[in-house]
Amino acid sequence: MKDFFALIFEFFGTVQCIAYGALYDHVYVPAGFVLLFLTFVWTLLFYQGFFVWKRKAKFDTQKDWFIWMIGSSLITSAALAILADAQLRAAGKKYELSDYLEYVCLSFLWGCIFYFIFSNLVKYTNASRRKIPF
Amino acid sequence: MTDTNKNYPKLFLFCIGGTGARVLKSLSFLLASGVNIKASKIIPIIIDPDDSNGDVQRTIEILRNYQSVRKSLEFNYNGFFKTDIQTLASLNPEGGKRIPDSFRADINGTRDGIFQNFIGYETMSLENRAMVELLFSEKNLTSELSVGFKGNPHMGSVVLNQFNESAEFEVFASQLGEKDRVFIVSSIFGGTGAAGFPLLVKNIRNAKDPLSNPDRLKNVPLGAITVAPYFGVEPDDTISIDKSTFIAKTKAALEYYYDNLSGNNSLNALYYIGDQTVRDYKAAEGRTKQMNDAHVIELFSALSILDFMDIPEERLKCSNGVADESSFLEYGIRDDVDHLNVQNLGLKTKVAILEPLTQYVLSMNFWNNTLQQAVSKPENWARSKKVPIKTDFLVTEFYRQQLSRYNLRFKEWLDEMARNTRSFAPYNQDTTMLHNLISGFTPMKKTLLGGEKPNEWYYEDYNHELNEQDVKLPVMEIEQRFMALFYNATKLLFQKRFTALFQ
Repeated sequence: MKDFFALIFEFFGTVQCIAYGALYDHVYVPAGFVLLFLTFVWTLLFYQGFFVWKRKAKFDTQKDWFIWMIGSSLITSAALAILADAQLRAAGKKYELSDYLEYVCLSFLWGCIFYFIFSNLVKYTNASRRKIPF
Repeated sequence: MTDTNKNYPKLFLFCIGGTGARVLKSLSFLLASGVNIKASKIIPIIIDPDDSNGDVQRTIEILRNYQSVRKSLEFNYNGFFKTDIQTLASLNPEGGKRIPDSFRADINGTRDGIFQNFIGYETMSLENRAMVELLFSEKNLTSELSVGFKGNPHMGSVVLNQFNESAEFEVFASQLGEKDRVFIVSSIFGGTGAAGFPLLVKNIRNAKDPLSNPDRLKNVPLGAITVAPYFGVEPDDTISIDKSTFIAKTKAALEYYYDNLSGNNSLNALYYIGDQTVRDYKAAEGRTKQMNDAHVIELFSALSILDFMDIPEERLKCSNGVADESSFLEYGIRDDVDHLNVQNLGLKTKVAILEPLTQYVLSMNFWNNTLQQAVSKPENWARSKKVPIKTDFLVTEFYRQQLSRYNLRFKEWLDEMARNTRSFAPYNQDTTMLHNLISGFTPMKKTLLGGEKPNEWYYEDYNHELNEQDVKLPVMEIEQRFMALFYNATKLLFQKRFTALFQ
């Protein structure tokens, strides 16, 4: 599992994080699950109209989808940064955010990618949003 | 949904005079909205010597428009305009008598000339002239026939008595199928309708050679509605129509009908309708000036046609030109109020027309208020990959020339009924708060605390329903897809939002 999530978080990593070893030992697994869970929840929220506009053709354009993807991925990556900080502190490691900034940026990117993938699965649950993103 | 109407008989619908034309107009709007009638096709035959009568002209224009919209549609997924309306000439096989492709039947000798020429007054002997002068005033004798009979049924009965010799009547007789039905709409208080109705019944029930199918014609299921006074005319010394005679004429005609129609079972079903004559129109002696506002009585009269087509075949048997069983029916509303809305209608009427009519009004509301915005955005239902509905659809002949024009007349009809007396204003047609669409009715929903509040809904809910339907429809021509989308979406919207109307 560790290697699987490491593959995700280091997939684009040409420049290694300073905190690479500590992240591998203490963060990737919980962060991976949180990333998948949160992204799925954001996607579900969008496609189910936040459960308020479920049966309304509202907030259903490609622009809306894109804005929600950026916003939700930013929140996810912030959550993963907080998670990393907490995990590293708990393990007695001292790193600053700048030391694992690449991990945070990759979290954002993977947030967007998973959002895109989940969108294409979840979109069929709502007629008003089934043609989004395409 | 499938097109099941093909199994039903044809309906030959004779509409006599201005009232007949206005009832036909109401019927066409009901049929456009998808009201169900058990007829495979309807063949309206308007009988009015006044070929420039405003009401007749407007009705013919509406029927032509109906046909042009319908031509582009199929009815596997769409119920708007599902009933076929055709001219008599379109049924006529090659080799049959040639008649004009018109909804109006021509009556020989009425196009030009005056009544005395029509009856050959100039060539009569002195004795016969004296007899004619006893029956007809000088004003009657010098009346132009091209403007109708101006409230003089005794003139109408002479002229219209020759309708059975016309080519139209021959074609009608030859095209009458075994199970087909005939219905006659006329008023009892005017000239053309009051005169034409009993003559037409007589000519049908006494059909004989050389007319085609005389036996079939004699025993055809025959229904009629006779409309008693429901409007008046303003006093005008220059016009021969006088509303003070309406009631007397009605009484006299009813007595005549008792002896010659209802009393001898000539008809399988006879419907009576009328109202207080609250509103007086400006008097008009025919021609284009005779164009009255639509009235709810005409809508209710149109319902009699639906009702007649609902009667089982076994109850419409005739033997030797006499109905085995005759029904005499009237129409009533639930509350006697001056301003009617849907809550004042009886349950049977609600069940018959409310859903389709509301569907069509909902569709028109969307088309008028937000269609352009929806296709420009575009909403998802308009983004179909195979049949996208783009803004250029709004300038096609179908949408701009045919459907929009028909909708203008539909709206005009509803507006006229709403401003007439007694008024019928079932819809707030232009509202954007769709929960307020039906006058006098607001859909409610339960709150968490057990109370109730208005169940508000707007175009975003409407678009969602269109999106739902878009997914379900197969690939089809754009016009069909457009109508099917709205038919199915509005049907579900009605069922979700308005069924409390039936409680």
